[in-house]
Amino acid sequence: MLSRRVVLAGPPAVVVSGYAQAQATSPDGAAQFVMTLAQQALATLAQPGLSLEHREGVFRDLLRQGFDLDFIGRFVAGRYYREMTPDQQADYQRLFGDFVLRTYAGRLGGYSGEKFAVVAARPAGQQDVLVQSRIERPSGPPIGAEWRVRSISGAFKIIDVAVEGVSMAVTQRAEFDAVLARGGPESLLAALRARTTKMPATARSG
Amino acid sequence: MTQHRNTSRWLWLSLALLATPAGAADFEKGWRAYQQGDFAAALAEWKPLADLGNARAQYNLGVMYDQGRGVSADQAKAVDWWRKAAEQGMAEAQHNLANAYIAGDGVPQDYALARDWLARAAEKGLARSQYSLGKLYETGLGLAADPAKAHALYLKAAGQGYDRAQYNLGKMYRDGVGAERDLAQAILWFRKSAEQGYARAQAALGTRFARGEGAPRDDAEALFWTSLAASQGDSAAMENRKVLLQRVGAPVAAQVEERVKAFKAKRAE
Repeated sequence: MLSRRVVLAGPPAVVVSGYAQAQATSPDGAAQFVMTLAQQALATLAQPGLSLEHREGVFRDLLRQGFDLDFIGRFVAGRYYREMTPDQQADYQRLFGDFVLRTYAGRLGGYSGEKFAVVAARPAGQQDVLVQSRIERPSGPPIGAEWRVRSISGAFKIIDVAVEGVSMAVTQRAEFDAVLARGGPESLLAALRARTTKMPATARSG
Repeated sequence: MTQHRNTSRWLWLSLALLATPAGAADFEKGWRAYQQGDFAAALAEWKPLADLGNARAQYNLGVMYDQGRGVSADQAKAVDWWRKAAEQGMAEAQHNLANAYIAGDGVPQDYALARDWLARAAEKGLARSQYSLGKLYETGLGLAADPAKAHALYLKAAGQGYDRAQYNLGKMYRDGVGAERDLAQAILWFRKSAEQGYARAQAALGTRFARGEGAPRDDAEALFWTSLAASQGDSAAMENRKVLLQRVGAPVAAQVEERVKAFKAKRAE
């Protein structure tokens, strides 16, 4: 398949629910999926009257639907996943999902003056499409991100995101491997818990 | 008469200006900018205040460095700012600093130091620190495992509405760890957490109804909570949902699906 520049700005022509029977190698379909997911998620960030913390929670909840966190989580934990108890696996999945969304959701921007655009989509391997996006910011150079999209059970899912060429899944796998090798599943769960239960910015004094 | 009125007005304005501390006005301006996602403007207000020793500004700067908002993410800088605010007694800063020690982000990992900072923040009543300290006692990291202490801490945090603490408290009652086994209490706490949208609690609550543990067996109720957890990607719940769909049959499944669509998580915090 040839690479094509697919530029999407503004509302998509097709509603996302029509993509239940997605083709595995449809760059346009994958690009549309990322754009629609981003627009719906970013709209939640723009909601007036709610705290930033609340809006970001809703934003993450929406994004969650578009990622195959189970798939990514298993890949990232590698062979150690099988060695976890069922409770540890379930805790890991939940904590890992929270961690990924908190760390990488910012790649969609959505903050003051930022604009998200899908700029290209090309096939990668047998099953995947790499959708390239860009966030324009008033305060600095644009940020590029590449979303790896695969059709899983008839629905598009994001299975990796690369920022400035660095894969999230590969980076986290290397990091978690070191933690798991050193201290086992409980130390990884403790680290993920610690990272996802910090307090947000506050206006309260004292 | 006009002269007198103008003078009074001028006096009133001057007093009003003198009574408004410039520091509070700057912090608030930063806060409004931050809420809008204008992180550069927030930084411009908070950095000078942080440099002057304002604990709240120091703490918020730490959050911005931790998250990479308006600055490149820098865990070590986040820790530096949190430490300054923590040493001034700010509970949120103590909490975040402790968690940096647990994760080894920006500082070498140190569960014992984490325990010390969490104890201080928990003492001040911060629910998340009560939970985090409870987790250390439950898992025996940085101190000897003590299920009863974990239970007591989870109870404090759960009582303040923290969903993760409610879920973990439910598990302890379910399993008889740190307290007598009490399935009714397990359901009570799982439900509070589940109603806030916490997927693990929704899955656990669904399982109680599926098995008739702590309440009469109710497959429709089980399917409702299990479906909510499944829709958040909980893989155990996704499997359980398939089994429950077989059990309830199509008409009940359709009713439950309507309830699932209508569900709105109550956020306590």
